[in-house]
Amino acid sequence: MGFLSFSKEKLRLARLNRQLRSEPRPHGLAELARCYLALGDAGSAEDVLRFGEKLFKDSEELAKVRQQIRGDELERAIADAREAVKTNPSGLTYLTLAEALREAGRGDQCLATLREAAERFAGDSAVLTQLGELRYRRFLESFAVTDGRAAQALFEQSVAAEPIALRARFRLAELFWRVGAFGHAAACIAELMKHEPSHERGALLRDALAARGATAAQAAEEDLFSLYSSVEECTALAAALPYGPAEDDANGPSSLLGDAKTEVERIAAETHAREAMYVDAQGTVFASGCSSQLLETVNGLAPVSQRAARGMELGAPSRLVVEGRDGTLLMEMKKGALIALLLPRKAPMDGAAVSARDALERLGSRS
Amino acid sequence: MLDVLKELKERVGIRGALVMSDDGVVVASDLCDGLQPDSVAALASAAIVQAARATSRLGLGPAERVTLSARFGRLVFIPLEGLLLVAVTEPGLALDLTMLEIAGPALRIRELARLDSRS
Repeated sequence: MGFLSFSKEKLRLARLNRQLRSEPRPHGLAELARCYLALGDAGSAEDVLRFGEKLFKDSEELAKVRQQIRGDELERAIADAREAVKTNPSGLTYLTLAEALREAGRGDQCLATLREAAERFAGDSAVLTQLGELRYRRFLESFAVTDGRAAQALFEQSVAAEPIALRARFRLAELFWRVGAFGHAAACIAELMKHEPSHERGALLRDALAARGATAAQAAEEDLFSLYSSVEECTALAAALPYGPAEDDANGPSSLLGDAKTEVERIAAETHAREAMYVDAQGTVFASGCSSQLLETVNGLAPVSQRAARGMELGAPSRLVVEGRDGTLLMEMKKGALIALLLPRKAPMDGAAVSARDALERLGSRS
Repeated sequence: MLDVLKELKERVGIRGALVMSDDGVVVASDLCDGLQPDSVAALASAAIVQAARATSRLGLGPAERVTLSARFGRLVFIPLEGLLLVAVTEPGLALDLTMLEIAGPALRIRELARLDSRS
């Protein structure tokens, strides 16, 4: 297409765009997005698509265009990743390619890439862990003994290559728990918690194992092959993890929103915070059991967080967590407002952060 | 120490890292393009000083880790016996898994620092 024809086409599409914005139709918007894509204008296509998706959430036409864009993006990502593997082969470039293939639904190619990476970078703990995670994910769908044992072997190789491959140890503990090898799980978790005692999910798993009376000594009596076979026969895992959706249910729907002070008191009680405060965008403070030290601390940390995040071009800061030996300070920040919670040492951080973020959103929407 | 940082940067989700002394001097760095070690060290120094004041003022004991999440990334600061490890990570990753990725190299850096101080 010559330059003049290209410009004419863009003008035509711009007119059509304006028309469709005032009289939107899903088929028209889908066609318009496709035309922009054909012209190589992915930005305009995305704008049109988002506009259409807001109005016509269930439109199949728009969904097809979305799939097409996603497919194109994945193909580009795969091509770029293949190039990177060719020009700069490393564990990371292989893993990036494998992840792109997995997202594109090409599981076999993904596995082949990871196998090649594991051979080429034998002893690369990160590659082995990622390969293990892939087999672990397959095991959770297939329940096949081969997938489970392959995942286990990869995680174990990762740990052998790098004794402080803590992510591999954590996944190994999860895998053993899920097949009912509680003694093996207890051994893995003990090793993990030695190095990372504040790991939240690790602590939950450790406590769940202790509640079952599981100890590392029991591992010697466990027949792993039988346990995996049992999972395959029943097409079901032996035990569900002691976190995940169940933990989200425990947070539950929040109580009716009162004023800001009531909300702060509610958050403090829900998260077991010994002090809590909310500072709105105008600087007004609403507090529950709050000391002047907390206020002073927050006044010092908020601007420093801004400078650090923006100075490193990471955008506006949203959360600061300062973990001390005897407790944790959590600050959720949004558009000049913040919630600060002073939490005990072993408080579940994810739950507290979600509660604080939800409260910040609600309070912000009311002001 | 640079080898440890290079290895850390190879982990999925880790954009770069540096190690600095308590007085803000960069000891080793392997950061992604666009980040200058001295600028990162200066910002990190200010942040960790405030964090140390916070933990002292609030009775939280010595600071063990500081995590700052922002729209386009995360910063993790880990004090290590006279040194500070600063890691820049992607946003949106499971935080606990990212911490596990960083914890191993952090332990190795601490061991290297101990060996250096003995020799």
